[in-house]
Amino acid sequence: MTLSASFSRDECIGLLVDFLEVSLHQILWACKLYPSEIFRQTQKFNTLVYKSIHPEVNNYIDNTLNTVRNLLSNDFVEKLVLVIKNDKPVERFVFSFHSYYKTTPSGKVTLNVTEIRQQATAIWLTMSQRLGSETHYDRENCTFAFEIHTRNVAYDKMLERQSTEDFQWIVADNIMNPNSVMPIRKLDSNPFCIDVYTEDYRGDDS
Amino acid sequence: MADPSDVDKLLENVEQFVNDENKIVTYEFLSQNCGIHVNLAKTVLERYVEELKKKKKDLLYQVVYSLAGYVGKNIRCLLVKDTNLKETILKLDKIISLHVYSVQKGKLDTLSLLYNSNLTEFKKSIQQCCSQSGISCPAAKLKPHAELATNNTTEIKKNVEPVKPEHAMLKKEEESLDASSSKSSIHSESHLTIQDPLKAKEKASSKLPAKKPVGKPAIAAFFANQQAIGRVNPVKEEKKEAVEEIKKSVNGKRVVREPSDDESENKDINVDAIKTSKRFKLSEEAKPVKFHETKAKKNVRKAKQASKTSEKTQRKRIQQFSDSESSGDDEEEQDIVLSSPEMPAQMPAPMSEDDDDVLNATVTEPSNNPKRSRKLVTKAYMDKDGFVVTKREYETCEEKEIPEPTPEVKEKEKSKEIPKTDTQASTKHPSPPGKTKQKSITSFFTRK
Repeated sequence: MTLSASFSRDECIGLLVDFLEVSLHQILWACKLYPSEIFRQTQKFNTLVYKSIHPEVNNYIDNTLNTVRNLLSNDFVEKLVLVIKNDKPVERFVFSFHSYYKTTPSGKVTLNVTEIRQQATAIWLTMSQRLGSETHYDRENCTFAFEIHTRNVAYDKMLERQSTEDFQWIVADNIMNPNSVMPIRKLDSNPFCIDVYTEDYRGDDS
Repeated sequence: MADPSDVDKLLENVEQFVNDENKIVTYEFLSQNCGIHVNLAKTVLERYVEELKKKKKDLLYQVVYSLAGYVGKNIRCLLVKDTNLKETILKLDKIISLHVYSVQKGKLDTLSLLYNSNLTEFKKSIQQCCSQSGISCPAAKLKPHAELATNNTTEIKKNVEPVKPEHAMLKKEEESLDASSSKSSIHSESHLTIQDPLKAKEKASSKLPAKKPVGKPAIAAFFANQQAIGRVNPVKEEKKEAVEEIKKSVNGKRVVREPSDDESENKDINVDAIKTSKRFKLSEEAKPVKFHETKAKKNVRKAKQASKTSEKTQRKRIQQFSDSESSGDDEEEQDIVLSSPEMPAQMPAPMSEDDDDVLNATVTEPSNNPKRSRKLVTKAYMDKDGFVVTKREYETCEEKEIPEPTPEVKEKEKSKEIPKTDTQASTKHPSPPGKTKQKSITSFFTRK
């Protein structure tokens, strides 16, 4: 039995941002960048997930997702990347968007909610299983940041708003080529198509 | 009672699941997969664990037990690892039930994976659950997914009705350009996608009779029919949209109408026809097919021109606001990578666990944070339309620290603290106003 419903564009984007929020918290929990005590168990799509309750971390993630939400409404976001850094990038978790949004005459699109939930759950499970294993680099001294791949037009619009908002984005440095790319999973259900994969920048010495 | 031979077979299955497939085998999973009673599944798992202990391989595996018992008047149901079983049993006043919940190879850091694996396995076995029901109908058979996809396309072909007037056909065509699937081979007699009208006539005249015996209805007729029906019965349109969207979900990609065999020669779709705006990003490049203008399509072209002019006007507005001198499509399409400048604190202080992990749907932020407080601030910014919009938002800002109390006050507090601890169980003494110590940021994380 599948559950499908019609959603407007904003509702679709809201669903997508919820998925991203849970995924980012799951990555932080699985990577053990912070002590596990700041994470609390919660449920999303009837799945056990972990969410941070530290206010600074939550504000940081919320500000990022608000920016992504505003850009998605104009379809200017190509990738959202969570970068784990230890002075240099160590690992990058990439969410690559391919938007196929097509509205019906009524302005809504039908989503297969069951399929989206199942695929999202599979992504979170895969993340926790794969990232929970021991790593070769010292995660305790690492921090994280976000990158958004978008277009110049979108950045110009953001600059207009940056003077009045606290959270400011800057142009990133040149991105190095990763040593390896590991796909995690793909969320492919109309109208979403999101590739989730990791890029490893650890050298042979680590 | 199960036969010993059946139990041996089930033990082999369990070993296969655990060792070969590396699965987390719960008693529910075993019951659903093997079609046995839950109690039998539990006994099988217990037998398996006993055999592991005999072979002294239990250290390689992890066994999770389901324990239910009384703590005072309350009943507690717990999932306990084998290493913590004895301690947990001692905590309970009376044990109601104890049985093996799951067996897996390797150690699990958390039991959340246990919950998720059980859920996914349950969903896979929904078909098996239906087999256990008493209601059965021999005519009801589950079709495979591939058949369902092909059936949808054949049903659409059958539903097409005779041709309607040209104007209606062409208008509907424009609207449903992107929605039609590439492989739905419904050809239109009056579908104008060929540059040379002469060739079109020749082909139409030559190929029309070939099509007639096939009986495939025209694509325009299909949409015209839908438009006509939609005026009377809007419900049918929704069904058609649902069918189209099912096809989309099957394909999983953005659908672009590919030219049919009749239209394959010298056809170029005007890219603007597909690219209605920059808001929609295409996954595949549209094959170039040109539309031949006719009288009937002037209305459509006017609509396109209007959209183009609107885009041009939008571009002009963007150019007015931006300070950059260079303009044009190259800059607009240039990718840029933005990085967040602020990084959160690397290692926030650990917090103590007051209670066991509870499933909380919402997350609450701490209210007491004297160093940083939220203030209502009015902000003004320029809207898209150029209007100045003022917003009231809460901002976090640092407050000046309150000076620490004098030593005399500290001594008084210490003396007051002592009686507080004695009577902590019964009453709570409110602290005197103005004499409490300022709490630090780590108060968010209570010390053990």
